[in-house]
Amino acid sequence: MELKLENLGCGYGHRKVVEDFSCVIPSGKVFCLLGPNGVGKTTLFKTVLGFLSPLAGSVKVDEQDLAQLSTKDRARYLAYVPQAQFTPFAFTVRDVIMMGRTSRFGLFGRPAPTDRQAVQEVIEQLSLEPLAKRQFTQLSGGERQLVMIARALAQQASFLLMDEPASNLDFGNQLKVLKVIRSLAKRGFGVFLTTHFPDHVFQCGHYAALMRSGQSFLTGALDEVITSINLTDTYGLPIEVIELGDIRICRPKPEPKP
Amino acid sequence: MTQIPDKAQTKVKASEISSSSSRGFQLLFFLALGLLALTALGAVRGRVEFLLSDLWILVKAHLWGPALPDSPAYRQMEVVVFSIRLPRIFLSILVGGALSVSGAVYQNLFRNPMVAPDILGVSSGAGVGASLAIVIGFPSPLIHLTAFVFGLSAVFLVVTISQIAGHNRSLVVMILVGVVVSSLFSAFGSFLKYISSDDQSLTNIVLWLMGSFAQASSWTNVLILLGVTILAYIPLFFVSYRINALAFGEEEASSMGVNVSGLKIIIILCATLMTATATAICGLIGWVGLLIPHLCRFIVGPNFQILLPTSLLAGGLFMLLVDSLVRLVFPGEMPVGIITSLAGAPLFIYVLCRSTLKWN
Repeated sequence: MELKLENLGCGYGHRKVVEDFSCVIPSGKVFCLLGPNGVGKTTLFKTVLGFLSPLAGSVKVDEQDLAQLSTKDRARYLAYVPQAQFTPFAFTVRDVIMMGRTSRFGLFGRPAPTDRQAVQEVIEQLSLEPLAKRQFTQLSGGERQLVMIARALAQQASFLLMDEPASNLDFGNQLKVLKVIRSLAKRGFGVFLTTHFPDHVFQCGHYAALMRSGQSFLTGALDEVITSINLTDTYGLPIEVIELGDIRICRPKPEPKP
Repeated sequence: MTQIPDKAQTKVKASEISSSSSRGFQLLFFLALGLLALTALGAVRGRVEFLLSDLWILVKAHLWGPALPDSPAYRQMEVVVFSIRLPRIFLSILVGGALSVSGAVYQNLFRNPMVAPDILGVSSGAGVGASLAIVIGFPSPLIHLTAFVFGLSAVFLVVTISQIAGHNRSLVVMILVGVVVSSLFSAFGSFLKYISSDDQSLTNIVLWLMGSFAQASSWTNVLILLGVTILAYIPLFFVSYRINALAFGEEEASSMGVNVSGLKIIIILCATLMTATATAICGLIGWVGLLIPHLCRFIVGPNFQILLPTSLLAGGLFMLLVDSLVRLVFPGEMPVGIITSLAGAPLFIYVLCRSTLKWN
């Protein structure tokens, strides 16, 4: 399957923030959206998820235009992993993950044994057993992020949209979440994520888009898009991508020694 | 990452799944038991006292069979219990349950544990609607309808204004707007009292607004409120898992497949219908809709599947307890609204102090 964004224009009312954005996210691959603050990453994301209607173009899975689907049917194609945030109510982790099943509930809107089974499987996959009975509000940031991923997995959608999944986490949790993302792609999910860190893209991405101010984009394979020249150009600072053994990392270009 | 769990471990987990909800069901059972016991006690205690064993004979005679012994004592008891005490007992249970369920619903809908029918202005809106209908001289069904329409317009005002003022983000903005809208409707209410020429209808409005079951207890009112509560409770029961998903905000709920605008309409209509009908019958009874769901959430957690029935029964039990106090302990007929406010305000402050620690 493929998630296709075709000539997508997004924004609020008449104010276009993103214009003419196209990309293809195949199943089993990770697509990373990188760019400075305020270029419209969030707006684009909200449009793909259907929170905002597109000003132009379309979002399709294979040939199915998502804008024509009901909220319930759309939830079977796309699952959203938000940045873990505040909720005033102390749901248990298991209850939170069960919320991901909402689109699958039957006529009376209640979980069936298959739903409980699906939740249990997700908990085992992500090794969340020790957290299952704890209250979501009392978890650490990294644990909450994993629970948000678990909730999206329980939804059993083909594509996962993750909004800065590794931001606001400590270094260990960042690595943990990136590892989970890699394993999700191996299991066949298509992942579309936004991030602020080129290094995260190198650690889990297959394709990338670099969004720059002035509504211009670069999309394509990782090594074509995330290059020293493109990063320097995008962020307006000298940046270089270097190879270190079998991985690449990104760092500020060292100033020439006097 | 992916491990095959061994069988024994999976079994333990399966039993854990039900443990939190089974605690909820235990609580429901005890609440129901408490309601039954207090109903029986309330039926025999009062100005005229009866024996519980006689009540049993009376109930038995009414439900299945053996004819009541023909004595004046039993006939007097029949009148007192069935025409005076039971309607009042059932009405107070229903009002408490209805207010507390609507409170729970509003709190989850607006993701704000501090809102309630009275704080959102629904109660005072419904109160003004009903007063207006009484002053004009509408018949009873129209009084309920007017109360409902005014209650709805109060919610609508609060939601719209707090969206404009605070983008719906802040928990405090909605409460402040609720205070403003409430006081606006209270002003209308005072104006109605002021222009009401007839002394008798003025006294009626004033007494009724203070919240009391003494005037209102009739089987007709019990049946109206019972019908409305069932009518509103059933849809809420079926959407209770979708209401859970709303706890993470409207966008996330919609990404999980919830039709948010449809859901909001259903639950606002149901909650407002219950509050407005209870208010039109018994007047303004504050704090129940805020406190009871709050206390229930502390005990059974926020999962709406269990919170909804718990709020219903706990609200009913609380209201019956308060009304029994009013009826049996205090001389004369003190409006229950006075007691709920006296008990509610300090309890609320306690909850507020405890909760802010927990939420931030």
